[in-house]
Amino acid sequence: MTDAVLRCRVGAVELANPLLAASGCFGYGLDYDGLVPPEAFGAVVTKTVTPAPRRGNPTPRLMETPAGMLNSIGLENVGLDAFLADKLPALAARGVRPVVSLSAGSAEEFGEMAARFEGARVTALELNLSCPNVAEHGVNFASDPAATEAVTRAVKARSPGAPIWVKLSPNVTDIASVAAAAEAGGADAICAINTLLGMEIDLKTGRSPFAMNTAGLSGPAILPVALASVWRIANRVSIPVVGIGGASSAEDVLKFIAAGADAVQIGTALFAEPGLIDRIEGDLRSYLEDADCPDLETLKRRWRERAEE
Amino acid sequence: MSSLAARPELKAEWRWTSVHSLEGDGSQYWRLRLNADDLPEAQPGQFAMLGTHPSGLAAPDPLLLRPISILSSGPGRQEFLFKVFGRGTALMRALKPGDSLGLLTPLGRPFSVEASPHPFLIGGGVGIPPLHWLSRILSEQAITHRVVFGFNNRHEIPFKLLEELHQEAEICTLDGSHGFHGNPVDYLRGEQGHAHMRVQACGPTPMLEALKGAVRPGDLLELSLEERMACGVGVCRGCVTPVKRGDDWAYATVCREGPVFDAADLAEVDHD
Repeated sequence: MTDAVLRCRVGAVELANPLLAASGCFGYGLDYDGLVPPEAFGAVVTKTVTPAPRRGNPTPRLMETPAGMLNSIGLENVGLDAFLADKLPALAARGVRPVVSLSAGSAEEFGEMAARFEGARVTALELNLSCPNVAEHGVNFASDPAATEAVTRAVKARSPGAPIWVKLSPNVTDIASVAAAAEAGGADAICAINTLLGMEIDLKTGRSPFAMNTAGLSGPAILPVALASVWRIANRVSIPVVGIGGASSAEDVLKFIAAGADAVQIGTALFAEPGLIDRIEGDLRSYLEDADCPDLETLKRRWRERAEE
Repeated sequence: MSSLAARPELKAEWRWTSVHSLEGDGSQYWRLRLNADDLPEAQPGQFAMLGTHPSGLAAPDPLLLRPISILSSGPGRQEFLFKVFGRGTALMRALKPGDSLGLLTPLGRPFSVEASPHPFLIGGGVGIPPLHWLSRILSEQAITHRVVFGFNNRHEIPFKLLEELHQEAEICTLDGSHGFHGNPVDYLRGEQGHAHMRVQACGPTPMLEALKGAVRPGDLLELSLEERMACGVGVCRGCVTPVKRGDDWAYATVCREGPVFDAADLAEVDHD
């Protein structure tokens, strides 16, 4: 539907609805073919792109957990050149709103990647500062406020104008301080959270089945952690927050918005139910109607005013 | 078949469906029939992702859909054969007629249906459903072929299911309690004539690995691989396997570029 009921703002970015496909869960935007049309989302966050192509980690790459999933894909991707030559134009031709997820090994390299988006039509660049599954990126930028600020500043200096969203890791002592550092570096929005560091043990061997030993936990199990992170960040910074982590229903989306998120990314839950986005959209509309609220932005204002009382 | 360069188009559809029936036959296998109208056409070797969590549950639990190979598909129905392995299949075992089930189907690359060279079908344990279906299709097309199924022992043989084949299956048991004493790979080694064969197999990974060494030069070998999956459509990149790309190799997804691969396309990679 193209009415304004679910229209949503993330700073200067206006989206048709508050639902974004989370990075790593929707390929490069067109990989679900007709099964899950990318147009269903307000925007689609691409699989993380790195400067050079990456094969990713050996299998096993997945493990189900109670109400969740561990993954160790290892940033498998086609690399920036192929992404710019093939993937991004295909998205533009289809009229999909892309948020491009980027990862690199240094602030300079992040800046160089951002500069390559000159003239490209992207809704935003999302800086993945915190993939837990990559060995050589030993520095997890998002665990260090100074590094987070430096990367954000380098990208802002080189970016041709696309909004810069900074995606943070929950595997830190104080995520709100890291968010504040990103804001100080010029971030246009904070995305939180990335996966939680997790592990599995194969009792036949007494070791982790994953090649990198640890893996990233996602799914409904991490929703409470994500809500608390969003709430703490929203209370600390004045830039918008995009909530990520375990959302699998309209109720979850509304909880994120009440906690301070301006939009919400849906990830792992798409695997559990490919028809999920249509259902969430319908349920959000029903909720607004029942709450006698004309549209989502009005609901956000009401909740924010109430929070400030 | 082969041609991994072309990523197969996704024709799968997602829906909530209902259980028509769940039957056991005294062996360890359960036969699940789902009511499903207007499904896209499916072929032997393709699989479905089944969602055992109720529709509309606030947080899906179990989280992931379960990949299960299709036993048969036709107007208004799709059938599966499974064995209880873990939480998902235990929930499937408890299904009653009318219960709701998520269905994403059909997925993946099927076995080829070709007369030449003669197909030699090998199914090990829970790997028999796609070959059971393939055999029936080959028989309907009057394609000469052989069917060999391997089990641990005679108590695990789904005799009722085997009666539905248009020809007799050759049975192997590891303990020798029925048919050939040994596994289907040993059986194949003893039965090879002069004509080349198209060996089409699904079953435990060690059996598939052994088949690579058991076929003769000139035989064709199609293997249905197994790997942990989340999305089932090639998006999450969880279920990869190394395949040859020129002089190099690349990861292909078992769910989208497979599960059936031409063994000649698979690459051996040393990760250390």
